[in-house]
Amino acid sequence: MIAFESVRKSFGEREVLKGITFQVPPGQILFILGTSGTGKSVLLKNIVGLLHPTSGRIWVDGDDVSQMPEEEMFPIRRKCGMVFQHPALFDSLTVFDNVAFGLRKHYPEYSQEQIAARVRECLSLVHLRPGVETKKPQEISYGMQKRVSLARTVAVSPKILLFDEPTTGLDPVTTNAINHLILELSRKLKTTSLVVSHDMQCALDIADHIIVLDKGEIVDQGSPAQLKQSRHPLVRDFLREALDAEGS
Amino acid sequence: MTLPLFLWQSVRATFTAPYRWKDILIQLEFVSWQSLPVILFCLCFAAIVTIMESSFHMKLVVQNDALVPGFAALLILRELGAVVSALLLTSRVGAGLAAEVGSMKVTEQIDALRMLGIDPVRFLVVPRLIACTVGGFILSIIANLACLYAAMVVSEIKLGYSPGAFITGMRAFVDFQDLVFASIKGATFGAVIPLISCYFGFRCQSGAEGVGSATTNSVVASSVSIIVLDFVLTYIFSHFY
Ligand SMILES: Nc1ncnc2c1ncn2[C@@H]1O[C@H](COP(=O)(O)OP(=O)(O)O)[C@@H](O)[C@H]1O
Ligand SMILES: [Mg+2]
Repeated sequence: MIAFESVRKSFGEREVLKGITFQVPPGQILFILGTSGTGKSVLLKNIVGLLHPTSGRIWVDGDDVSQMPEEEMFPIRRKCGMVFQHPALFDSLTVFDNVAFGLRKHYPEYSQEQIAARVRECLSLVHLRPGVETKKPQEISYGMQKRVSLARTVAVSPKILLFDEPTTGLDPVTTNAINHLILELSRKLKTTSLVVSHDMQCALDIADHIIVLDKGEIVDQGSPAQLKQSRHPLVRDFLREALDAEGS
Repeated sequence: MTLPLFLWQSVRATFTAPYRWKDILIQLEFVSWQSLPVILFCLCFAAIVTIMESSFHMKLVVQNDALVPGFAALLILRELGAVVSALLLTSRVGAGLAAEVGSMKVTEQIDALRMLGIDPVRFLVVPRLIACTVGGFILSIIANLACLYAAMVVSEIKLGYSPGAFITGMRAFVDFQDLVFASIKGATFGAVIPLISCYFGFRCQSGAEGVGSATTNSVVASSVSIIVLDFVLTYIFSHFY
């Protein structure tokens, strides 16, 4: 369960989040839609204490993380996997070691074989073929880097998954596969997911709840069925995009 | 993160285990061994210029350049050796470090480290701080000795002082203590470079120009700090002569 209570976040004079309130029940998929620069990434980072709100409260499974000190954050971060907007892979490590990094850290009892098996499993979940493991991040394409980053996060089986534009810049086939993966993790493992996205169509397909953010405020929210009836101009714009894509 | 907080966290992490020895050694090799050629090259030229200039002016003013070895050695050990090496280290190591940490910040690698429960200060700053402090110490000794050697060779070729005469002239002015002070300067400047560079890297704003200005600002700030600290240390050491 994740809950925001009138969360505000400013950088200096600039207020980026202007009083955000919402809840995500366990096992549900929440989509956060909005144009670039409206504070979607900032919102996600507040959940895991990479940023702290200027005011308001954020609850993660009953713990108030809004002003939690860095030293106490680890159990929360252990529970929450985050897929960053950038691939954020460690440049000096191979693809294999990037995915194994968290596994080695969180499961010291795992044998080399168990780690290797889990790494291969996670790479195949994101449609990466064997052979990429030995490459360095700079040697593979951006889309592949994003998928490795997804595999790295999913590998440690977090209970809560935060995705920051997981499919932006990917081809339609991989986009589909990743959306399917998010749905499957949520349904089979009861993972709670927050997905930041521009893709209304996908939100309508797999979200339990959708939030539309504009200039740091929630302008509309509801189930996919409710959102389809929205009169808000920005939501209508997003819906039109989605319908166009479906029609073509 | 403010500068005092950052400095405090870096120093605290530096004096507490665990240490990433492999990383420290890799960094030490990069900072000292790989910087040696450029530092030796530049300092040899600095030594040549020091000898020729001081001889020229002394001959002009006091019609005699007998004091050149002493003055040159004094200048080299008290200032040139440590400061020139440190400024070269700033451009070679500090700039790269600010760019590296800055781009890790911008591409969210620092956030990814924190998500894994890894303290970025301990992970990134501490190995470089240790390597640069030790490297600065070693480099300033080697650089000073090489610079003195170059000065001796030039004095023999251009001014006709035998090595024996050069060393006698030099010993009247400097002593082992000067080499110790020079290496303390070297270690201090070595510590300043990674601290300032990483600080600017951590504060880097997103975008390509963010990394660029973090790099430029860190080089300027490191250079200014080195010059100011050089004054402070020289002032402190002056009480021991
Ligand atoms: N660490 C930061 N310091 C200052 N400003 C920031 C920081 N992070 C984000 N911002 C600003 O907050 C705004 C929202 O950013 P972001 O959440 O990344 O937008 P998006 O919705 O595209 O993910 C942007 O204008 C950005 O410049
Ligand atoms: Mg974003």
